[in-house]
Amino acid sequence: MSKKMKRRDFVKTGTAIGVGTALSQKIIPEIIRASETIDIAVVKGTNYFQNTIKAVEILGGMRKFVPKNSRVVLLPNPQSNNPGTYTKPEIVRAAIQMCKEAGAREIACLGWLPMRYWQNTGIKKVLDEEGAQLVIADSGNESLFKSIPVPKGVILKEARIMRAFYNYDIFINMNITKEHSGNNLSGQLKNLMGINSPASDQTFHKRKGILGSDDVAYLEQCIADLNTIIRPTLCIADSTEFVITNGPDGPGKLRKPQKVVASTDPVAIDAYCSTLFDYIPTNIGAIKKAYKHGLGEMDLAKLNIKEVVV
Amino acid sequence: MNSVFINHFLLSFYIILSICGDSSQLFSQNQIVNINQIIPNSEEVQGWFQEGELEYAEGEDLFLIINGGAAIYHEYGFQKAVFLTYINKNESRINLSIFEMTNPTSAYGIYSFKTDTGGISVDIGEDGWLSSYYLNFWKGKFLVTIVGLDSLTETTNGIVQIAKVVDQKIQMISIKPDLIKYLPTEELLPNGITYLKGLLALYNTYNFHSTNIFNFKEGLHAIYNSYAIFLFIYDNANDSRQWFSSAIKNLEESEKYSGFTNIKDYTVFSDEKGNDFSMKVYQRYIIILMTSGEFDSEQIFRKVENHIDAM
Repeated sequence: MSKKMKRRDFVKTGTAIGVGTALSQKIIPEIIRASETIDIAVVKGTNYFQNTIKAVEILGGMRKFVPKNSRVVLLPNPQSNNPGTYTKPEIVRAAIQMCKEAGAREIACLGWLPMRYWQNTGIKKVLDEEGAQLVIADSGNESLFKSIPVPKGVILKEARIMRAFYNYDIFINMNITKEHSGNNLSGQLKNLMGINSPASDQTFHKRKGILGSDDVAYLEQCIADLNTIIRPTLCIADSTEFVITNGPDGPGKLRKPQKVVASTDPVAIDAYCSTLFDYIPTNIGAIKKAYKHGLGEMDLAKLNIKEVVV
Repeated sequence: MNSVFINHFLLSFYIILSICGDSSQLFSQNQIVNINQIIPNSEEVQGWFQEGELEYAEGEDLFLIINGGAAIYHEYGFQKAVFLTYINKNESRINLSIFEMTNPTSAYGIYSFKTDTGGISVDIGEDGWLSSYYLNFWKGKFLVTIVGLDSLTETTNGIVQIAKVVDQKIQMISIKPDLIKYLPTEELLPNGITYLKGLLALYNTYNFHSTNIFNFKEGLHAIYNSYAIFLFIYDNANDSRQWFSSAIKNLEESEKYSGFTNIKDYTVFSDEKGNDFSMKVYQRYIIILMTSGEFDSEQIFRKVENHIDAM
């Protein structure tokens, strides 16, 4: 795909495989209509639950993304309970409540990190209170992961995605924006590693099979490649409070922009969130490589960004 | 003849120490400390109780616990780690992580990576640093990281209390890398040094390039009042010259940098954020100075070179 290709063309012709093909066919026109007005919604405020509701409203409301009776999978990041390293439970709660109001018949979070991570971060409590499920794949059981070819992968030729992921129609990716010692930014693009098997993820850090990556570009390319096979229906980034050093697990210096950011474009949302670190988006390899794959727009000047304070 | 003399001297020295009763200290400093033996139990940390099971990681298992965060530990040289949580009666929580690295230099390295200039020095371990809600210290081949999950005073006190107990249990020699001696000390910020062992650490300190264009054996990043120094060491002067040339070529090809000019024996250039760099090769070292204003590069180069010559 040419770099000069317009973003609108990308949205219409993007080839990434979404979950639930039949349902996603129905919602794609609505996503396009939503993105024709606002590309990125940014809501700042101290009530992170309300920020999330407002950000999705700006994009057109959850009903635009979650059809009635759909099965929705959320992918928050529960990696650590150190401050600024995990998706805030109240943001997950807001997403669940909006999905319920939109008429979703099933809502679940997926991942391969053990239960204690979900408990320690408070996400499990929210899931229980809201009646959402938690599906955990035993990280040591490779039969719970499915080999998925990555035909457009420059490096990554096969991913190992949780089988349970394919039981859902709608995918809402809910990363926490944070620093990552491997590639500077842990954002939407990198969050997909949360449903790829840990055995496969580890190869991202092992150029030529050597542990302790000697080539950051290698990891960045693997992340971009992984995103060519799965595209979120909706991206919600917790950019409220996050580590800007010692990521992804912390502890590290905290920055508190108090923002929840939403978009349908994972490249655009990462490009925006990278600026919250004072990064230049084009200097983040995963963003640049995902853009080259045609997965979205990284030039913020070309995007319609609506920022509000609540 | 000389080696016989030295052996006799060392033997005599050891016997004297043994007689004086100091040998226990000598032995204890060198003994292998089991990571499980340095975890404080609830009796040792008043008011704090272990919550849940202890987690243990060895080698690549670290990826299963801290995911991609494991890569930087492996770059410095990781062996094993334990993770546990303490809770008090008010349900405040503290996370304790103890990382056993391959040697004291590795432990110092990851400590220097994980701490920055924001915080205060604490007299715990070989070096200890208390930031807003967490404390790191290193001692022997261990890095200890203690995190408070809230900002209450009692939690901060608990962090320090736990740190002191772990500190007392580690009896090992701590050795910092020799390379640090080459740095000028004037205007060096407290805790301003990061010891670099590979690309990841450098990339997180300053992202020169996403591939390994310097390929140094060891390196340092040091922050001063008005500038920063990167110092990379190679096996020999041929290697340093070769990597200097290829690094300059890679930087010139990057869209991020501009204004490459050779002045005397060094090269200057700027990045897109307005940082200015002066870079030269000296013996088996590459020295890079980074600043964002008027700056006498040659004076700083001379200081570093004088330190190198003096060693």
